[in-house]
Amino acid sequence: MNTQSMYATTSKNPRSQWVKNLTESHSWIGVIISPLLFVIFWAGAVTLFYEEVKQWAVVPQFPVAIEQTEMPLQQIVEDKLAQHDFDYEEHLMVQMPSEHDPYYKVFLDLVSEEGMEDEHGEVVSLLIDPNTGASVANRDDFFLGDFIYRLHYDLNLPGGTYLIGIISLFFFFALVSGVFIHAKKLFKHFFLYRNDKNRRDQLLDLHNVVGVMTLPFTLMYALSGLVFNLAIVYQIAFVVFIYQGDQDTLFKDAGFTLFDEPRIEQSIDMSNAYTIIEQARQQPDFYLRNVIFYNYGDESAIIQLRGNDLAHFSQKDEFFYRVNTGELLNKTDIENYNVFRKGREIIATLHFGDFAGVDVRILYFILSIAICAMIVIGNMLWLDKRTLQQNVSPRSISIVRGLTLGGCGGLIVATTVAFFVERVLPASLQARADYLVYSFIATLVIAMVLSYRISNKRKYLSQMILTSTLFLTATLVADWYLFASEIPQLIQQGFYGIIGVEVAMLLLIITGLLLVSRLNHSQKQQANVEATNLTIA
Amino acid sequence: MWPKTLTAFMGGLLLSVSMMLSLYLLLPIAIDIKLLVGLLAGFIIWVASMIYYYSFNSAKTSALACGKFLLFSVAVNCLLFWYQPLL
Repeated sequence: MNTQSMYATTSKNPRSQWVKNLTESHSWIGVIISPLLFVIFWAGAVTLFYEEVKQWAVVPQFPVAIEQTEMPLQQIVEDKLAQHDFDYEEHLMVQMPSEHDPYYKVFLDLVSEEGMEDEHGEVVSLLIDPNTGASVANRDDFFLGDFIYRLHYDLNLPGGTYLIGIISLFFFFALVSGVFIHAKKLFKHFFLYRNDKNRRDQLLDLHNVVGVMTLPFTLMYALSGLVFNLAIVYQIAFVVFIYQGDQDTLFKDAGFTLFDEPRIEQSIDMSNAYTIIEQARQQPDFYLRNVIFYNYGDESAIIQLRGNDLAHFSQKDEFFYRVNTGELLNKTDIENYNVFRKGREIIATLHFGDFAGVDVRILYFILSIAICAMIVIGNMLWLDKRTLQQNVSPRSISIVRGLTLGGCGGLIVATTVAFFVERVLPASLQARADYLVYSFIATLVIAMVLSYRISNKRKYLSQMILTSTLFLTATLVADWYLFASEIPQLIQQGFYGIIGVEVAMLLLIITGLLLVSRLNHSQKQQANVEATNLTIA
Repeated sequence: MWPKTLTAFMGGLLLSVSMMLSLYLLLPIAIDIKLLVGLLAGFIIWVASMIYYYSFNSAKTSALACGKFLLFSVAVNCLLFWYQPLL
């Protein structure tokens, strides 16, 4: 791949040579990481509304009457333990209902199958109606929200976490190098967008304006992405050089409490645990997120309660109790916290934008989409420049063009197909989540293949947008065809996430149709100009 | 560009690990604060050194600059480790 500078100027002094080298690196790295970076930001933008998407997917299938009395949690857990071959050496986790998600989620590690005792047993994740205690589905059956979330942080691939970490690192580099390249004009041309100039200047202005305006946000995302995905590098360095191989002590110093007591094999009644849980749930300004049971039913049983302190910014509380005696073994709250852990939690809160209302997440969404546009524009600039150069192989240009159009555009079409599939597949279908993943991958592959085959790229882009709007429209129609009576009731009960997702779909349909109309109009204009030129000739 | 990228990535990584360990040994602050500062500073040093290495005209000069910095940083680290009880 040729690496001539996009901004190349004859450089006589070392400083301009320095900037030229950085510019070359910026454009080269930008093009290489662009497809995956687009995936990260697109999936991240959708994941900002993870809870709403999850609610939209699941709750209409299994409506819950929230005014009814809940079944006691102890009865729910012990029923599930009786129904499944739980491995009592392992822990058991219960995720509590929330305003978005009315179900209990119970995660059980089952005993390993015969002949496979050395391997970890299957983990079942049950979605439980809080009123009846019935398991309505497996949590993973409704995979859309989790699939897109995993696409954001590990691409649903083994080792994907580290790959995303490396992409974050190069993204961080691209941001800082972009600041150096643009430094002289950073403030002078802060809002500069030359509408009257040629296509290249317009694209460059758009790339720079979005880059500068989103800079604090993108720097935060790059650094937090590194902290989540590549901290392992420094963890290894600390363990080897400072902690002499003692990883447990490092975790302890980092504020992560570990209890690893063996079972005594003397049974106890677990009622005391549920009394503690109920007391925690009644505390003002505290939302209990989940409970983890260690050594369930044994005298050595311990429970770990994790929740959010709603009175303080980004405060995640954690309490460990010995069930038998009710003794508080360890606590993390606003008065007792570890700076490393607290810092990491603040980084996570800033990353997910969940520290305020939905308005902040809408702002985050707009910024994420703007960055997606910046990524595509960066590639368009690279393509424009390279197309004019004689010494660039047509193959490189074709690959980047195909990845930009088919990869980025295809990802959007694939997401709309996934939404449609999530809505229309029957809830009881076996391997439901697999069909969703296959449909997503198949759509993406088809879009990429077609992007190399279709020569009129503008028309193809218009067709992809139109396809996305069609799938979103079909999803909305399916929503109201399948759940016409449930949706209004659920909205009345306060499940606004469902209507929120539908409104977002409607807005995207309108935006898509406007874009298609604009693209078709400019295509017609271009055809007219070409026809006029031909007549004159 | 690939050789320069390899130098920038690996050189930046090694330099950041080395400098982060030096920071850990030098900073007279609580251990949890040291861990957080070390983690954040580590990534910032990594990217800063990548910027520096990419700014050279060739991969060779970039690798030489990387080697010099790395040797210096490792030497400082060795001294700190040996004289750690005295600090």
